[in-house]
Amino acid sequence: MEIITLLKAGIKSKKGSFISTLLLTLLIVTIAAAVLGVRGNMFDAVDEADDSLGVGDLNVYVANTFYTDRMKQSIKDCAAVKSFNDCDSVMNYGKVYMGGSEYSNTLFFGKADDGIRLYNSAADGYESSVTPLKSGELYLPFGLSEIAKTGDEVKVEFVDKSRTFKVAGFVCEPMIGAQFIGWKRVYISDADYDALSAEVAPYESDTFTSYIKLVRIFKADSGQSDLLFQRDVNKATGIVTKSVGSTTRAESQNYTTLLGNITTGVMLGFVLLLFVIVLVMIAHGIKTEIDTDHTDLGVLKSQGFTNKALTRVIALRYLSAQLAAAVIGVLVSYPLERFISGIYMTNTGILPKNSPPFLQVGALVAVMLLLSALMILLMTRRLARISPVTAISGGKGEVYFSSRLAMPVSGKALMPSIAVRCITSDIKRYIGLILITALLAFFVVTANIMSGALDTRRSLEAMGTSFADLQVSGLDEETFSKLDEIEEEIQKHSEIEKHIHFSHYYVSIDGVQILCIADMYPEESVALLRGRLARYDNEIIITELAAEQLGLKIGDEVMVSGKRKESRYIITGTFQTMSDAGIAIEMPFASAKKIGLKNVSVLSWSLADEQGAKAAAKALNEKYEGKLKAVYIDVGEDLYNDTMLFTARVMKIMVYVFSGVFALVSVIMVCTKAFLQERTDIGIYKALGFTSLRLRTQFALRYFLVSLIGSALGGLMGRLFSLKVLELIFRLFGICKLKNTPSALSYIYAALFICGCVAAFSFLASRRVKRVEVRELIVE
Amino acid sequence: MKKTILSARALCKSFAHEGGQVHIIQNTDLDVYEGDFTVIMGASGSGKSTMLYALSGMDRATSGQVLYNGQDIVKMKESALSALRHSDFGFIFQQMHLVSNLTLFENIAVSGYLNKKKTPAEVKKRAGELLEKMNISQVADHLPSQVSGGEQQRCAIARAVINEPALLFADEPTGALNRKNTLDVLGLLTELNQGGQSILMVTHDLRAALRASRILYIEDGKVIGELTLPPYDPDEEKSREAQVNAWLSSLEW
Repeated sequence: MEIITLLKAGIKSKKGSFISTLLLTLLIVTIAAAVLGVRGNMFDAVDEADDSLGVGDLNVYVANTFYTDRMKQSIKDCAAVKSFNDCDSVMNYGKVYMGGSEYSNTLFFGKADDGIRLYNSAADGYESSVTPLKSGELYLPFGLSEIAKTGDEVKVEFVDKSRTFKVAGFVCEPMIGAQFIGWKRVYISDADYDALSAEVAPYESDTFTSYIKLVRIFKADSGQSDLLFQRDVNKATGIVTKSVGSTTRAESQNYTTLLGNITTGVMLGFVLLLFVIVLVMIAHGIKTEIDTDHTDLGVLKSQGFTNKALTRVIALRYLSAQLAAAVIGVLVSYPLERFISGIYMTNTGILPKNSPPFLQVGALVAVMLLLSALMILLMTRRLARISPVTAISGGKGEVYFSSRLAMPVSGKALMPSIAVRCITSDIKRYIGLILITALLAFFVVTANIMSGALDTRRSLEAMGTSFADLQVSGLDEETFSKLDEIEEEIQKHSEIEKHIHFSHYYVSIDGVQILCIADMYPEESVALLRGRLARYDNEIIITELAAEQLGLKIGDEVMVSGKRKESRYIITGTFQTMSDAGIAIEMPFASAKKIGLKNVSVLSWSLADEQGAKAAAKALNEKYEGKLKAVYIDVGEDLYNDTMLFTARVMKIMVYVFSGVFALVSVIMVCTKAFLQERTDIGIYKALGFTSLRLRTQFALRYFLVSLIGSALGGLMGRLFSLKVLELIFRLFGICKLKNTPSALSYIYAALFICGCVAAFSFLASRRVKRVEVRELIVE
Repeated sequence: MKKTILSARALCKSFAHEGGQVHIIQNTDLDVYEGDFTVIMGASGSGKSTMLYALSGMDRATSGQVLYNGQDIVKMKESALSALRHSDFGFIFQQMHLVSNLTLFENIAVSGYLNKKKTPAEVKKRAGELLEKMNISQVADHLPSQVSGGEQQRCAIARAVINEPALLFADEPTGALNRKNTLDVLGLLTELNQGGQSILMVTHDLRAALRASRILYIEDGKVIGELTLPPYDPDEEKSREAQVNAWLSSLEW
């Protein structure tokens, strides 16, 4: 009972500390629970959708011509295969126009599969049954709902002619339906499919087909990894090598949840950091509390309270605040989780589940409470130093020691010198805030560097992304042979900075399918990391991620298989690219010819002059009318619409907002405690004639200086660790090495933000100075 | 005719307590004269310290007037009161109340810096002189926690007079000191008064009261007695003590 009485009194008299601990923990639990919920539910939803649609462990898009009875038999005979099925599709030949713009990726048209689910008009659930499509209608995967709306027309160029369909709705397509995956499977009516299939048939040849089979293959051994399964199947059948493209179930799920995984991963990292700050604040709070309540604690000891009992009172106060925050946090996280999941739905194309991750959050809260309890135990060891005698003799007064850092109080800079004196005479009191500001500054620096790395065309180019200003297409062989002439025409209007001429296609290395980038000018666009570029026709370079996955290194020799030919290549270097999440190889165009590549599919240029690019496009279209189509690509420096950049900016804003909120709560908590400790000094200064405004300014200035030390420390941590932390995150996008050197501004902005917040919030917290009356110094 | 330096008219000070009002000072009139060493005495809880704080502007009276240089300090704004504290009034607290993280020298000088009537160099020179005068120059660079209570109180006196205040207030300045330090502090205050410094001091210590040229006796927040004395002379302390004792006894002290 005595513990409860002291606990109640403690909560009442230390409302600020109780509320601050509650608020900060609430913020942490809310974010953590929501993020864990989003991650878990997103993955569960994808997995369940895969099951519902019968997605295979390995899914291969293979031309009809290669999918022979012999191939089928070899799949059947493969020991690693349990079962397989296939379905027909016809792919577009030319362009696709939807939502008023061109869609540059391939679409596979097929009949509605069994198990597809149609979204309702609000996209918050599925229709109870899938309405059969009428002629001229199609269903798109939800990942395209940002581009087209129900009722929009989709114009598609097939090998024979163009056809127009009307969007009848959106379906859940988990395999290749996500925004990050270029190819899309769309559904048309049975009648339309049969007609389309018959009409494109005459155009089939040995070298071209519109018919693509989707072959779904299932493992015999569910414990086998998808990568090994793919390798085994390909070794036995060659189906992956001969395919247009393939994806394992794990790869597909990885791509589908990529954006969500990265952003929520960053948020979890941030939550961890915030929890460290909470621990620092608890430590600071207990230390200050023991100092200020020295007399009361001594009196309690004189009445027979043991150190253990007093520790229990303090621990219960902090832990009850955290427990209350955890309960509220879990409840608040539920709508937040629904909201965040909704944001990712456009990206994944899959309706998320919404079941709270009770087990994970329970474990998280338990770990949090355990760590907090350990911190409390550590800090309350100071209680042992209090004796009843000190209480009886009037308690422990403030004791300051001379510091070597102490600067004399100066008449010319009175307030700054008093502020510095306050810090140097009791530096230990400010260590908590220095640590908090250091951690916040580190996170803000990291967010700045992340955003800076993705913010400009130049920084993205340095990491292996190419941006063209001018692109030509539709060239026949004769026009292609006049490439020098075309470039001469371009140079009349602008200097050519880069030639971006390449083809992307899939090859297999040791049975594993991988993206191959065949470049005509690799020296102009490849972001080499180690070794050297592939120069000769038996050389390739590989991304570090692919090398890790395939167990390869520079100097290794590998067999690269195209659809009809294969050849051996030596790996001469490593590079990075954001294509295919960084799993790729690169070779000169001449080398790619050895394994069957005939044409460069993308002919584009990065030009020095934007206006010149427009003029060049116009001139080329006039000069080569009917022989090519030249277009000016408006990239500019502001790549705001880019998904990665958008994500980076959203995360940067979130980091700034959360850092600001944390700075607010922690500064108010620290300042309130400091205010309690300094109440007498404030009264004395007031008695000497200092105004409240002067004292508040000195207060804010002091905390500004403290945060400056913290920010410098945070900046140093940023300098040492930010790039490494970011590279770990960016590996998921395919970037192993951030090429840009963080500018001084990245650090300055972070320091200014944190110091500004601390100064403003401490000035705000110091409004209590006004309430201090000199009469408090009166001893009657 | 002595010149009035501070006067209170119909001064009241009340505090809210358990839903009602406790009247500490009730409708009191009082004058403090220039050059006087005025002492306020009274039993514990009589309201003498409260009166001192109300008169010095350290606390606001509930009603009435406290006139200084024709201005009512009860109605003064906070900023004007702050200016008054660092330019015209000096204050010595019973518990010294030195700023704990400033050295004794800095505790004295900081008031001078704030006042701005003197340049920083002049303030430093004056602070040095006061340290010498208070006999604490040897501990000038020490923090308050590193010196004795007597040294702290001498420092507090030096701080209170660095701006040459028109009126020096002292609230039981010897209340927390031992006998030797008490005598030292009283000697300093007497010396200051003999140099022309007006002093208004609250005390319940008879030895301190003997230094006064005028004693006011307070009971239940009202001045109920006044005794005027000749300037202090240590040789006449015994007879002075008898006179004051007799007067206090008549007031049932």
